[in-house]
Amino acid sequence: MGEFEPNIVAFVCKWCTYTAADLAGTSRIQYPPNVKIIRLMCSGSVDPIFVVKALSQGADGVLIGGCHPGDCHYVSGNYKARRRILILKTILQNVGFEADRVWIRWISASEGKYFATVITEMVEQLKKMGPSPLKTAWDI
Amino acid sequence: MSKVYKLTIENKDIFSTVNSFFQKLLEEKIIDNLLLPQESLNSKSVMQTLVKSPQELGNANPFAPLLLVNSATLVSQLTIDNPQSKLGAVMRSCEIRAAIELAKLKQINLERLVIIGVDCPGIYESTAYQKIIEKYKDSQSLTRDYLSKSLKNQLQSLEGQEIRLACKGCEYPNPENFSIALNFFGCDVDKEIFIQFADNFPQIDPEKLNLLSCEDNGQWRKAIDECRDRRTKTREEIFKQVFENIKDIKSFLKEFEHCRRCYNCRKECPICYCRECIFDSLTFEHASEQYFGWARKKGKIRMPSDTLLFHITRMNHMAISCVGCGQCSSACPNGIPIAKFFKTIGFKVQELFDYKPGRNPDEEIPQSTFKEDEFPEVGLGPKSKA
Repeated sequence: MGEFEPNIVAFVCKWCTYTAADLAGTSRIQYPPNVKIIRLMCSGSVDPIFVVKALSQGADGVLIGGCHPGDCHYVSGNYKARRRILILKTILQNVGFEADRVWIRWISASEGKYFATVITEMVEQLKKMGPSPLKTAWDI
Repeated sequence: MSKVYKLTIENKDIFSTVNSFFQKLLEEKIIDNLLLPQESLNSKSVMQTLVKSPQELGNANPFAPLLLVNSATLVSQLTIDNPQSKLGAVMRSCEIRAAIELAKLKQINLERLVIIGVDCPGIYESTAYQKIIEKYKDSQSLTRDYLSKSLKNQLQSLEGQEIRLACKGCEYPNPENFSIALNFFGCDVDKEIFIQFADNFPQIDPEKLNLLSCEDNGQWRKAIDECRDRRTKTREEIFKQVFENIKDIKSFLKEFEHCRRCYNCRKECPICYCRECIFDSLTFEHASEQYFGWARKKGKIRMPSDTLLFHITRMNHMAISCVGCGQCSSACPNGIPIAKFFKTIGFKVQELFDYKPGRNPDEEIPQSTFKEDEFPEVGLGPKSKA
């Protein structure tokens, strides 16, 4: 058995964070390959149900990436995402699940380097936390 | 502030006195229809009725300690299509607060609704009520006993049955956001009760309604405050117990071991209003190979799957508006104390936004709005941005 490699699902918006991930790639910035990116039109269209579904189906962590506050392509999608994810994290914390496995980050289209930093940091933190308890729980 | 009157109880019969008050509301066209609980045919239960004829109020029992449905859902059905007429509805605090939330969700038209709030010392689960009623002639005599005992603050049990846990920890014994309120805490219900009218309620003629003007309802206020303090303490004990029990996700799952996924909790929840719930859709109906794959990965999986997903998602959708009425627990065929968890966790979510469901119809539900400068720490990494 090698070192534990966390499995991250990232829901990112098309306009900022996905473009940042693209920029990281084209700029050949190295970051851990632990992330599976799902592109959406906006962080505001991330339904928390899919964050929980990802966690219950084997993700060790979920990242929600959107434009910086004030920069949303759809004006207010990320403000709504901020409230929704905050609600979700509060619920997760209170049902006994580590809410720190769910990250929300504002990463603009020009921040390829920052995207790589976020993924690196998230992998580091999840390695410290170990595998998600839901990964092995069969009774969910 | 509201206008307070006294209603003198005639012949020590609170039911007939209150009935004639309701009758006059209908006759004076203050309301066109009235939704209120009445005795069932064999007097062993109390059910919601929609009354048009003032003569059909003889079995009314607006104080019976039983809540088969949270009437907010019925009010939704009766006001959602903007009827021309005014609907009066006799509601407890939890029903009113649910109605306010449903109004924000565009499921109730408050302009067509005259909320007639009643004080509530707590109610019994239907199963407990059925045991209690065996000892009584009818629901009215049971209710009479219940009122006199609860007003002396001795309502821990009737015939050995306890009131609903949700009610024990309910910090809202009296209705708020009413048009008319029937207040009986601190009163001798054989003599008189208080009637309040909201300030914005159209002018009424107190004489026509047999109401006496009244300067001070301090005795009521004092009794309500005492009750609220007592229940708030119980609520804190319930919260504490919940958090002591939920240490990790496994201990939370343990509480839902007996969940059979009947969705009764969702059906009975006044806030869960979606015509088609995502869990009734095909979203989480996967191909058999998918299930085999998950079983292969974990060795085995619980079927039906996604029980945790269901409860967390329902929390996500309604916890912010959870009024803590306890109907979900009551509806659970396997006796899971769902309400305890939903109210406790809902309270935590509501705290984020300093939001109290049902407090104010003009407030927006937190998910449907935002402030630009709130939660600046969310979305910033601990060291990334440095």
